Amino acid sequence: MARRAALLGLAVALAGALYWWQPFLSRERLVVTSTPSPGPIGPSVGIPLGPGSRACVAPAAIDRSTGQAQFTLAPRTQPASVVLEAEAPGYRSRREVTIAPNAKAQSVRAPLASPPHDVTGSICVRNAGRSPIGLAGTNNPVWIGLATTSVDGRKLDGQAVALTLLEPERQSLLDRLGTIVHRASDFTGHLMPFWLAWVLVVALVIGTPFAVFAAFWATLRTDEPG
Amino acid sequence: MRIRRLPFPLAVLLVLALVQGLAWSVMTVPFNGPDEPGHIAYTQLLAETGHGPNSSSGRGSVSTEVARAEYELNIAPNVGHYDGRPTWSALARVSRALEHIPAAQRKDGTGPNAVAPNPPLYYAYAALAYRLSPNQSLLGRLFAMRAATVLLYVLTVGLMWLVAGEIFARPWLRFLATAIVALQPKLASLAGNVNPDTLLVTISTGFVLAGLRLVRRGPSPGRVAAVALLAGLGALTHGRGLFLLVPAVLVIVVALVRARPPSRVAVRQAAIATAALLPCLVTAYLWTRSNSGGAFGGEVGRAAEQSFSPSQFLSYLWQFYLPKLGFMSPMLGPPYGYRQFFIDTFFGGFANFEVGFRPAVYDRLQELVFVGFVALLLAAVLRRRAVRARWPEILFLASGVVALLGLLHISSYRDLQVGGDPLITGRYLLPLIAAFGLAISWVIGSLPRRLAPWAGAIVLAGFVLLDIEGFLLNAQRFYG
Repeated sequence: MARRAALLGLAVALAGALYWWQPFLSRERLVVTSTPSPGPIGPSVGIPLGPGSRACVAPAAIDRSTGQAQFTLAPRTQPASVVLEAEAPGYRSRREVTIAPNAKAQSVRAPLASPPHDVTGSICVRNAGRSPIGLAGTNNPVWIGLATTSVDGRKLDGQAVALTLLEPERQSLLDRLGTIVHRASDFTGHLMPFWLAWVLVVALVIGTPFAVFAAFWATLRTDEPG
Repeated sequence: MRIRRLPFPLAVLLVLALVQGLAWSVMTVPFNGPDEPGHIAYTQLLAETGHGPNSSSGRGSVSTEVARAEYELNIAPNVGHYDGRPTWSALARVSRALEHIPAAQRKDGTGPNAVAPNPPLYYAYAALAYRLSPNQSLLGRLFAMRAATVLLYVLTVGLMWLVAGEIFARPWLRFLATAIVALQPKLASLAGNVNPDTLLVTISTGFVLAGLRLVRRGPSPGRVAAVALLAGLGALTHGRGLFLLVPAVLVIVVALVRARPPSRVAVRQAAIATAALLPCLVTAYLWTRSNSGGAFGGEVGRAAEQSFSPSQFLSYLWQFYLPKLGFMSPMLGPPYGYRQFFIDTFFGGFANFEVGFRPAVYDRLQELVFVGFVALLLAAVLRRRAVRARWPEILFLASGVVALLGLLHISSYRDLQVGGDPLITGRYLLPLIAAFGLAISWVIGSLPRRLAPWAGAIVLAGFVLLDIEGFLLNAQRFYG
């Protein structure tokens, strides 16, 4: 009975892992490369941009894997046309996108050319349409951080637009496991080398069900008569 | 002295705790644990100067070194933002810059620090890791502090094994109770952060062991001193650790009453308890008073000044757990109650609460917790002879639960009275983790003998799934 009970537990754990973890790990999702200006948690502050006006966030770290920028437009009844411009030493990108009207705040992703190497510069959203638009932002000083937002060259005091940079393609966690563990290891001040972090993660995720039920079986066996 | 061989099941759980704690600490971006910048600032100041921070004044809530790391790596603005990521590419540059900052910029995080009212025990322990870290960069020291906290978690699992050994004769129930502690995702996540709550959990679990041994084996100077000392260490770790005083006094009184020692012996043992407890309480009182507006952040002083309406408190308590009745006034504060406290933030709500399970998971957990609670009551009725026979142990464990819940609710009520936050969250329940593991295992062990191991296997599988899923969600949040 001991073995069968332990095997049942292991089977339930493995079935659950396949049912829940496998889709979670293999689902393709947006990959954030940096968050120069994370914006609000909850209600946002609207930062208006008239036709021709330009809102810029700087300094913005633009990693070489970056291929999109994401910002949030306020609800509007007219289509919007925006130009996304990024600049840094040795790097320049300019792309225009048209966005259909939306009665709700809308998260917009616009393409960016990938820089040849990691750079720090500015990212601007220019209203290239005929009607005003609003960008979602925050007035919480903690969430503004070091990057400041300026509109038409004038720095906004105590306000910043929400801006996130993304990789061009969606990827799964499994595809990016090496990068994930590498970055995590880098943030330990070299105390947790990459290979050991890798071993830890694999041992935890794959080894735990087997180790726990092997131990459970061992304790059940001692409880069996004879 | 011959060291006994570690039993295989215990070895598995200790290794699991170590691997898991380290994995959580690696996969959580620095400064993203609950209130972690404040705890780091406290530890750094203590390690650098020997002094604690102040709750209301000072040159900065964190040192210049910590503030630069938080902002130049773009970590602080992203705390609590699910999609927020640090600036990976800045790491090498910022690390190099921080290596050359003047020593004074590591010592200027003198306050105001919201966790300054905490007593110093955990911070002194973490300060040792800060000083002894093989890598003296800021991130290296942070990781060393987190790793030291992981060791407390491993110790907690080891203590839980001993606790369960006091209650269960059947080895698999002992294993189940310990595994539940090792696989509780919130506890594992907390172990990977710089936070005194983990030490309070270790001390509380040790306290449960000492208390159980005291009531089961009778009073001896060592057992009485252990109970009193651990209660004192709880108070030296966190204000919430004061809850241990209630079960400590109770268990010592019960043990002495049952053993009926000569009055001379009883007086001597009471004196031993006082001698173990009092220095801790006095140190905690004086330390916290010197760093904040009053002992334990003014909590002690306010207790006397602030009004306390029993009817309002009972109404608050009722509405925390149950729907409002017609004659009651609206609940104090935001809609925050049983579900958020015992389910959402006890099992999940990692990092700064932005990482959690799907709502359906919490729904199922709520149902299971309810079923488990009813099953516990039912088992207590059906096994009333066994319960009666072990009343001292049950009274001791129950007194700890009631004391902590009472302390948390009174503290929360008083804060809500003046328009503050509920100040009550699931991780505050973790000092009761030993009682949690024992209760589940006892209910499972009360099932028919042929059925119980199967139920145990299912419960264990549930905890494995919950635990690893929590870890994966957290890893995705920070590095995915």
